[in-house]
Amino acid sequence: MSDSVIIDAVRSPIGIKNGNLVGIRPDDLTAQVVKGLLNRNEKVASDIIEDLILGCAFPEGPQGMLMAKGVAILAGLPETVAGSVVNRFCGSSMDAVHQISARIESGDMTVGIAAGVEDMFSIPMGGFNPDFHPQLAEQEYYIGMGETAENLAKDGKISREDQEDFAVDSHQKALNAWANGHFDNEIISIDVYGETTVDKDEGPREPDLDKIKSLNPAFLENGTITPATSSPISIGASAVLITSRKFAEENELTVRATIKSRSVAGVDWRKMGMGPLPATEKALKKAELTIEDIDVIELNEAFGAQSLYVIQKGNWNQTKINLNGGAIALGHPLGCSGARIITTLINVMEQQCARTGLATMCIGTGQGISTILER
Amino acid sequence: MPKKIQKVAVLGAGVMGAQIAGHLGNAGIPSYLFDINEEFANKGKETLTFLKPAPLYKPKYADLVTPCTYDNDMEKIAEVNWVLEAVVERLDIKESVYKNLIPHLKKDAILTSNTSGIPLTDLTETLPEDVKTRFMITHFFNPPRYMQLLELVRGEKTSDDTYNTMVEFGELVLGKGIVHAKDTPNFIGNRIGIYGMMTAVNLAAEQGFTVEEVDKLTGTISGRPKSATFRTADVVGLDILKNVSLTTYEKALADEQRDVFQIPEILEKLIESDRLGQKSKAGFYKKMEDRSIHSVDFKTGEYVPQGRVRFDCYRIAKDHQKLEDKLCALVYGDDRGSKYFWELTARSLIYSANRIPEISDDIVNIDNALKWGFSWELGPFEGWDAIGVRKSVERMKSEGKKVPSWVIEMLQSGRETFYCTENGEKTYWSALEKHPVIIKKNPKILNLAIHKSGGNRLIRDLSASVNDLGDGVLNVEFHSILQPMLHPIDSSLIEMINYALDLIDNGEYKAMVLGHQGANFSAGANLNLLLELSQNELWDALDFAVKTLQDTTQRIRFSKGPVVAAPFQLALGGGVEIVQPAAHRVAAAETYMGLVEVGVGLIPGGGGNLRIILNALEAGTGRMGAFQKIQKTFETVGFAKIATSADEAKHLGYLKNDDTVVLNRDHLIQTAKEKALELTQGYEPPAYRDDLKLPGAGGRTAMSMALKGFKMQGKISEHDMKIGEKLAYVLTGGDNAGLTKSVDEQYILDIEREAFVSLAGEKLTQDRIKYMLKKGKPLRN
Repeated sequence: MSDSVIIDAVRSPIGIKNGNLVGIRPDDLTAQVVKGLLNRNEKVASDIIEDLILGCAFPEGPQGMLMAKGVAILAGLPETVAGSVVNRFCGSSMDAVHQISARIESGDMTVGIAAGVEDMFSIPMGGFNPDFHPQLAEQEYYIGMGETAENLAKDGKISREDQEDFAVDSHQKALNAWANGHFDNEIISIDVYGETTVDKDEGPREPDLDKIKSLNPAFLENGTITPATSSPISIGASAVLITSRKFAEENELTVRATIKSRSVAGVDWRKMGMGPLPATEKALKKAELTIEDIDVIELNEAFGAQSLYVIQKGNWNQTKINLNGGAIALGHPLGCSGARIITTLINVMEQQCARTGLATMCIGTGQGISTILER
Repeated sequence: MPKKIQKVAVLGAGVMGAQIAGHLGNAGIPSYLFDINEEFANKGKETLTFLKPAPLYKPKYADLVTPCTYDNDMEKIAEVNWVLEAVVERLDIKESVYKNLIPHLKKDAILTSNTSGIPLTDLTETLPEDVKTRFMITHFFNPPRYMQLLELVRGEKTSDDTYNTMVEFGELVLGKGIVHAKDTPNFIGNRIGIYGMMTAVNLAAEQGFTVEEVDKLTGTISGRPKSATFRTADVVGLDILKNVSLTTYEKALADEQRDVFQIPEILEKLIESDRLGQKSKAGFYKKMEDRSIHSVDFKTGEYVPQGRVRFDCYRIAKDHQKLEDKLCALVYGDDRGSKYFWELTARSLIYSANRIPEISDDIVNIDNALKWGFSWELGPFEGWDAIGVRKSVERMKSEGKKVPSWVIEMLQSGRETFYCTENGEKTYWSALEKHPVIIKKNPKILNLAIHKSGGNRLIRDLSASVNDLGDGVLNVEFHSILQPMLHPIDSSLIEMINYALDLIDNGEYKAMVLGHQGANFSAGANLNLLLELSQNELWDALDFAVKTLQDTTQRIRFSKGPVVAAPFQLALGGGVEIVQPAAHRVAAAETYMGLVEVGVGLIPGGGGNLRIILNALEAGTGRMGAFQKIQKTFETVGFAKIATSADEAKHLGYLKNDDTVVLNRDHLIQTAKEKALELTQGYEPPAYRDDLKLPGAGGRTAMSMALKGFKMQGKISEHDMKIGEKLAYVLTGGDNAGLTKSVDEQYILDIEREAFVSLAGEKLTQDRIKYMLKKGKPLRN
């Protein structure tokens, strides 16, 4: 069995409502990111790539028709490259990373790309034609994500003020990261049909405290969660180039990170936001580490309340988490986010000279997914 | 349709200029909106999207307005066929604007002024001779989208071609009612309208009336707008009122009532203290901190709480249905209110009669100006007819009032009324020619009252009639006996529709126009009856009544000859449901349509769900699947959305995209008739749909989630949720629909009816209906 290693990881800037990325097709967007990834890694010939696994939470409409293979063609990859779409909602592209790396480790393949994308503006959350099972509805399986976060806020007694502080922090860290060039190495600038070029995240902004405090609760009449403490609707794509360690060594490729362990776990769907806790516990166990051994963490910020719940219950060290900001500031394009936080994690690890890193996220329907990296 | 005017320049981006440019946009005409700098020009355009009431049918129409400045964009004048000047009312400024633009003016372009106070002869003094032939006054009323009046004034040199082009453009393209005025101070509308307002103020002071007392008498009870006298003044702006009044005072030197136009003390006092009406949040009325509305005391100029207003004449008038009877009760009572109202009316009538031939040669233009420009239901002479000319003249004489001789001559000739409609013609008494004159028919206007007088009514029932419009086209005309302004759907109306459909189905007639010329098309179901049946638990009777309406709507849909419906103003609930199944709709641009049943705790019951489903499924809305289309209709009906224009009604799915929209409401019946005749060529009724693919239980569950979310956010009540669930059930196709199944039209009608009747049995729904009947607005429970 061979180790799987990450050679490189990139992402598009993340676009928000009324931003410049709205309007680009999600397959075109992903193709540009994949192309950008390969352009940075000329030592990896495109015909050696075996499979492109693409994470996407709502693979229909422009994200339908097995988009992965379409993306491969649009990115100019040879026809010998295969493709598959994986759906694990918010964990989709982290699952793509898991699938590629596991297959490499098993010896089934040598080089693959794990990617992710979501265009939340073209495809509504829930899809174009939702058709719900009445019995599952009865059991609140289709519970709104905001409501699950309100459940956690209530359970963990997380105040609106704490959530707002967390959100403000997220924006300030993201703004600082941009100002200090900490995102420069992960961004592929996107050409929107010759009209504009987008090379920066559109979400982070100087927090307007008065406005934040004035917002009405978004999900519950007397709730604590507002649009300011939730991740915004967005669009983005990400891609990770993974090979076996042997291939990397033979081709003198620089290894940016090693995939140490992977795991998923199911939880109560009414509190889906707690998913990172059991998933991380499993991943740590497999890597024979404890949470204290982890130097830096990327915890996907679906909601401020949900992130704070995980931090509180897991007794995680907040100073290690999301050093370049998180999804509340940047946006959370569902299918893109898994590979996005792995990309950001690798850069943070390099910037912080960290040895081990954890990327973890919660998943609607009640799941968690975690990846531990080492360098 | 005049092709001559395709692009317009509006000079002056103030309130009037900007809104006129906006209304040109409503009519699909692009315009350049000029002002002295970019800031003003841009601001003018911006006001179009936030001004209330909205100047635009749809915000998107602002795209047709391009802001320009005199300094940078003057060469654009060369592109336009019409230049409308609406700059500040100062002759020197207007002259300099003309001077600068004339070098750029196309050789055949028309130049008009929107002035209300500067004589045309003064405006043309410095104009080159060839421009004088293309110059005239086009006087719009504020707000130009809503006020139908357009006063046109020609000069001695104005060519027929110029004048006729503006008449046609104003009437056909902008949908305005044209009044032919003369070059006299304030023309017709403001001359007589302001006389009435000033007289109302003066008389109030004389007779010790309060602001609210005057408004009670001069509002809807007397066929005037709800804002009556003083609230109208506040809306218009007291400074503007003063300026307009002074124009008459300063310029109409021979006016026998000139002194009336002097500014009354109270008005001066209000203006001096910067209380200019609505725009300064205080005028004759003021909203106090506790949100109560106080009125000004004429003596002190201070605000005091409004007193209770009680007049016997008002109470009696209120019990009458017809405006004529209401006016008689107000004029011929013997209480204090009646004395005031009589005096005000008599003075206004005499003043109006004395203005012939000064401001108009005939009474028709005077009546039209007040109806279209001041929203009076009856013009002065029509009102005079209503109270009896002879009777009122006798009283005037006995009180020593000087009645104009031509009015007395008319009575002496044996004619009792100014207007007379008989044998398919309408005549008016010509003051100058001293005999009746036939009012020339406008080929675009089919006036039902005149038409019927020619023996074209086939049958008359309590709330509706069936008329023969000629050329094989029938008309079902509403004239509700219950509510003559709102025309709710009642059994008489249903019966008449079926009567007409019988005549079409048996081949006696080819087509039908569903429409009338009252105040509103139809405000929906007869709530009184509905409540009565529900409270007495007469479920079979209720079910039968609903079924009858449903069956009638299906008959309209499958009629052998085309039915064209012609909605205008309010078309709500049942009013929408009888419009939607027609083969085509010719809607007035000002149509306010909505399936609003949720507001009274119900869902549409007369086929409204089926229609909006069909409209949604048939509309080409790009990538939208059945679920999304139905979800959109669910929101539209669930939130009881009322479209603010016919264009918005298309967007909401109440109307179809290929329905005809007519800006001039008076053209509605004739246009509908023409459309009906056009459709008769090879007409086939639509095919019965048994292939409706609706989301079914799975989609409905998704909609329920959304409802639950609204409930959690505190946006809807428990009862709203129950209504929402029922609505979702019907719109998603009940138990028989789903991704692999289809349902037919009758199934939707059946589940709709069942849901309707079951909701009518809910106490909370009955509470909503009662509240609506009592207060005229929805109860949230």
